[in-house]
Amino acid sequence: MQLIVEKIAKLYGERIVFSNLSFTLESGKIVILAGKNGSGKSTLLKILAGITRPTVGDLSYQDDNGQKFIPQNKQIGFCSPYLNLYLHFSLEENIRFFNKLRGTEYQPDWLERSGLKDRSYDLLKNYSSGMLQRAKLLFAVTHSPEILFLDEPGSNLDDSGREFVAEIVKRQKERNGMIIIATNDNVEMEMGDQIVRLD
Amino acid sequence: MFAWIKQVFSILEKDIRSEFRQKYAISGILMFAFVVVIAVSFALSGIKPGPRFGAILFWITVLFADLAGFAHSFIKEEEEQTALALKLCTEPAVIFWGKMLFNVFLATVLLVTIIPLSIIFLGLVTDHWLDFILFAFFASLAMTVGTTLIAAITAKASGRGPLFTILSFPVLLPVLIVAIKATYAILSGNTLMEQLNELITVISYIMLKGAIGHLLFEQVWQDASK
Amino acid sequence: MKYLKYIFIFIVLPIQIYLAIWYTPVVKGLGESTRVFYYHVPVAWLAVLSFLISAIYSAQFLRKRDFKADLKAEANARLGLLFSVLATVSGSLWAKITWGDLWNWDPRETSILILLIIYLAYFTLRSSVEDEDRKATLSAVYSLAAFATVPLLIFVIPRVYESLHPDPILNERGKVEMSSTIRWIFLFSMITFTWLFVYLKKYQEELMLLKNRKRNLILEKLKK
Repeated sequence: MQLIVEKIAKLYGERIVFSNLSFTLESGKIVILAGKNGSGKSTLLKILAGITRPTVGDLSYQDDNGQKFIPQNKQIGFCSPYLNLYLHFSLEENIRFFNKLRGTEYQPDWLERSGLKDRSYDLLKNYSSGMLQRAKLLFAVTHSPEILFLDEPGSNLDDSGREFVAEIVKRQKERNGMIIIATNDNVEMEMGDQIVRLD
Repeated sequence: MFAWIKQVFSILEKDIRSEFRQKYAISGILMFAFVVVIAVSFALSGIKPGPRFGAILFWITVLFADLAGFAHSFIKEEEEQTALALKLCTEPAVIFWGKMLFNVFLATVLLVTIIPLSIIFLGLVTDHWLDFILFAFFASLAMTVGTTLIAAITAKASGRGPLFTILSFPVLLPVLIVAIKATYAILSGNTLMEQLNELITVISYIMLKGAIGHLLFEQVWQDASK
Repeated sequence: MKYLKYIFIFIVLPIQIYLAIWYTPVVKGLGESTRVFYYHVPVAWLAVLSFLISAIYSAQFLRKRDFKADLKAEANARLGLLFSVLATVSGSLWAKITWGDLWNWDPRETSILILLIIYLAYFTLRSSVEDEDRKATLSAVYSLAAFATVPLLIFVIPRVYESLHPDPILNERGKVEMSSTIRWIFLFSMITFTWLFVYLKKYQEELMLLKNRKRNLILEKLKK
């Protein structure tokens, strides 16, 4: 699977966030979007995930036969600081709800790996920020999406949390899925096979 | 098709559950209706308004109580930043109809409350209760369908209550006018069959607004620039 | 082609004013206030026309994501707001003179008032959104949603109400019921105002494009 980006640019008001970006991403490789704060990493990630439209330019997904396709919701996993889950529901209720919407089955192994199994019936508003981050990561991976987008996945995480992220990345690469990470963190950047710099 | 319906009902279920945990929309609507009916009744000092003014007061109260609560479910998703998660999981249409059903739920709770209140405090009385309730249900449904898209727009505009009311008013005015006219007639002794014109108007409105909302909602929903 | 503008200003417009104010015979029920008719109806027509045009540009924006279409939608909405204010006010004053009340809620009065409120709501919406893309999208959607209400208003409400309004001059069968002279002056007035509208539309759209030229330039540059 390939993601081909051609000359995309994003304009907010009169500010050009980035322009004339072109690159190709392949599945099975870990891609890092790097750049200073405000360089547009999050915006680019959102564009690649189809959440936001680019002002100018094209992007297209191609499968292994070269056929263009548009990824369905259940093929995409997304995690970011500005994406929140339902804090007044428990983790288990959240996961169940999202699975129902996506039309996917509940997969308990990911819950195990996240380390949240014991607290899964607790309301999310009682979680610490690290636990919340793990919950968000879980939201992104629990349906085993072909394409994974992670925006600052390591934020608020302790060492075992970061191990969880590493495991997510490893498994995604192993199954030849696509993985794109937007980050400033050096440790995370070192995981990358391909780096797209935004500054 | 089946899966689609299940998804829509998941949204409805989620919103209702959410409402039961944090009663914002329902309490807002019901308190509003209660206060208005009491205030009007008090100001009338025991004089019963009669069919004409009864119909007017009834529908004005329903209108504004609905406007107090219908934007809630969308605004909440924006404020708590859960809209993105929803967006990633399912199509816009599912969200549109799911949220609309939730508003239908709110509107029904309102009707179920305000009809007894109106009987007690405004002396609402009629020979044709079934006709009255049936028509009220349809008109209320029309108000819901007409405003769902607008509620979504309001939420994305980071506006609040006032914006929602302003945007909804012109769109709802036809329903209001027709509802008052038909209700007045029913309270004065007519049956629903005699008010068929109004009922047909209301039903056409529902179908029209449902279709328009379904078509346009995606534009509003997809535009989640931060 | 440029001369058309001057022909309009110095020939057509004065003729319309002369015909409407001095020349016109008087309609029996309306008396001297007949003259309002030559201004009120065209202006109401323009209010609706502006809405239609604005809605078309809104649809175009949603389809093509062309920022300029949004600016034109706003431009025409501005004109629409102006015309609907004029139509509502002139209608109300005329109603006071002929029927005694400044407001009567008859179907046409209701429709023009709703149109006015729609315009006001449209601009309220635009002013509550900062982000340009979002502002354009949301107001385009609202414009179309509101526009969808209009057929309902035009065809349904008059049947629900008895009307105080002077027998609609162009009723459903398309017959025109007025004396020949008045009909001609009316048609001339309609043409004059529509012509005027063409100029107003052009200038207003240019104005909106100019106001946003910086962003337009950046967009053009990006597209290369």
